[in-house]
Amino acid sequence: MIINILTRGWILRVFIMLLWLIAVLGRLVTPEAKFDVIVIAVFIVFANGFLYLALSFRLIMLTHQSMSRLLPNYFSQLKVALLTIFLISLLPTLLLLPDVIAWFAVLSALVCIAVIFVTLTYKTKLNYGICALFFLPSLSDNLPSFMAEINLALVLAWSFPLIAWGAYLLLNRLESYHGNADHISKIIAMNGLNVNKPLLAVDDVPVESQNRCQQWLIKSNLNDYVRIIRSSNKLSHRQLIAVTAQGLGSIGRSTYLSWAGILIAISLLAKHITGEHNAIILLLPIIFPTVMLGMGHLNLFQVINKQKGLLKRLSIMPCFNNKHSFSIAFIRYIIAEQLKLYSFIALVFAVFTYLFQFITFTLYVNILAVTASVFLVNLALMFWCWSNKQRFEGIILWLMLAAIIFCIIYLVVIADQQVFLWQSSKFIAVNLLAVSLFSISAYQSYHRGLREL
Amino acid sequence: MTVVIKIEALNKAYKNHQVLNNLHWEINQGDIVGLLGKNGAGKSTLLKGLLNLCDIDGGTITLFGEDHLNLSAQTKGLIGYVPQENDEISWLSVSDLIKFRKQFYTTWCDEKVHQLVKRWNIDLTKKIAELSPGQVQRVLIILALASKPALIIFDEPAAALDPEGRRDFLKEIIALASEEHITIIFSTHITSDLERVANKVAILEQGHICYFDDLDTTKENVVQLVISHKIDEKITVPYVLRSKQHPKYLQCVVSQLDPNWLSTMKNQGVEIHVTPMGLEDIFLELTA
Repeated sequence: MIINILTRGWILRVFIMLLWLIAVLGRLVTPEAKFDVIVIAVFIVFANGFLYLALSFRLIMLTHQSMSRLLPNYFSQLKVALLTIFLISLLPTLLLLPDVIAWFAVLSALVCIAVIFVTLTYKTKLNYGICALFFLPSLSDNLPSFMAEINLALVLAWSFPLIAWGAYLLLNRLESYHGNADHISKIIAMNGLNVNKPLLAVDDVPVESQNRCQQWLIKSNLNDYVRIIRSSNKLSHRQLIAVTAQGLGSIGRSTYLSWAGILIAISLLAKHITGEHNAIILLLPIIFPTVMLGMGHLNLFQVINKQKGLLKRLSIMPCFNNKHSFSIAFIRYIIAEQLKLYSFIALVFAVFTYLFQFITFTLYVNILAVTASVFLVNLALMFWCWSNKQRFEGIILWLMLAAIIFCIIYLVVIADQQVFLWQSSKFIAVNLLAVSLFSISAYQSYHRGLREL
Repeated sequence: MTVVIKIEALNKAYKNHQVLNNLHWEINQGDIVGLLGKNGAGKSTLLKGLLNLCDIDGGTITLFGEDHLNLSAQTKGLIGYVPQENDEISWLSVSDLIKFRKQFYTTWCDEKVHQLVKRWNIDLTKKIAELSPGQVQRVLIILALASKPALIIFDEPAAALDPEGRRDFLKEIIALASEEHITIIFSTHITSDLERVANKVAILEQGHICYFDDLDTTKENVVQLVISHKIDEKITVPYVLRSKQHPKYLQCVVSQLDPNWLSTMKNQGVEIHVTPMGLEDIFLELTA
């Protein structure tokens, strides 16, 4: 049962099996090629890394459950379950890698990955260290020559006993490790909600469980609306909705400022990174606007869903006397908020494209065009969800997330293209479809009066 | 009498707030103790602390003669606990949660589980997150009782239960209490429940157990006295908790009724009416 809890979810299991299967097929098709051994190893490490990441989130729930200290033999059974999963995850390594050195090297790497993921889940501050590792490739240029010649596989293989011993010590420490209670409860809250209601976690993590930066962001975003209440005698319909539709995950002025600050910092850092590693930095202008747009959509959708009750009560207030007055004000609010977000992204990236010239003007325009399509599709999905009686929040969230991921992949694929996308008839057709979807769902929302809100 | 729980000089503080202050407490086998205390008095902290579910700042706690920090698996198997807040894995179904918990106990009683699941109409296929707070509470009670523990600790068990659920729960405790070896502690605000079930009452106030005695003795001792006398006569009442002088009589509540004093006063011709009090009033008087 503990193994079931740790590896719960068919998507996770099928995904990992699929990766293992690809590795097996790769080995069967080309058994001799050395290159393929590396590819297979990468596949196994990726699959197992994914498994360990999921496992670490479940593990924290089991180790910090209040009954964990009271159930007889709880930790010994938990340790057995962890070791069983780990040994099973090693089977593909054993079967697929013919070389003993490669086998022990991958084994060491897997133990290290497992330890890192578990440690990162329990100790949040280490995440910053991992972020710093992102820029490590640029530093490898400056490594002393003797270090560059070291065979990493050999080092990992020979270090296996040491790594395994360290991992075993850490495993035993889990029993007595308490950690930061706020952080642990946040992870548990997010994990519980994620498994139960996929992605519906952003607005459910209590303020006190968030880090200081997030707390400041939440406070200052909400304070803007407190000021609106205090400054004006009579709030407009849109202002009333804006005040009601705020939550912990809302994106406001402070979020925009923080994003701009992060972008400046990364751009300045990127300016100093040259050579082959610059390619990683070049991906950022593609990933960042899409991620910002995605966060804007997902957060707004989740916050509105969370505030449904309040918004429903607001809609029956006497100030919304006309049948459609609430719908009109609500649709206007959503569109205005999302346009604000889109304009911010367009403006900020225009400035950064001009100042830092990481991307060409053509790519900049193409990014805007593709994100505009995603913008319309996601808005259409949100309005469609809110104007229907059935509850589709979970599906809509996944669809929105899929649209964003697709957008990133598509932009990476067309990054080198020197033609404006609007010259492609296919792209125009897709955009027309997106516009139609948006128009229909917005009209539907107006007509049905946002019945499921 | 075998001592099941022994607490000595227990201290616990949250930031600057001292919740438990040099608390001493001893509970014997077979005691059914109702733990009373105001909101924030530290009842949950005390119960969690003694089970090592939260860290304590100082003091020693022994359960069945073992240090609460190093309980053997055998002793852990003797303890059942129903927390006030459910922190079970919310995405597990009830049947999965039961299966999960069953694997840790050698004394698990499936029959008991089936009996209570049937009686309390619990849908085994539902996830914990989909249950109402009252149903979750019932599941937690089933989990605690299924391992046939010798010590059961309930932290406000009836708070989320409807009247029917509460009655069923109390019936279950009474049935358990009939087995002599079982020790039960339950914290509650519902004094009527406590009066029906407990044989001892403890009051937690200002970080320590300020009152701990048999329920019947408590009811006999903590009483209201109405003493008719002239206003210029001075009467000293022993163990007085609160008194109010009226023109023709003195009304007071005592924590202990001294029979010698009572007979002396009667011999002197002073008219004294002794009125028993309900547990709720007793609690209010003792913590006033």
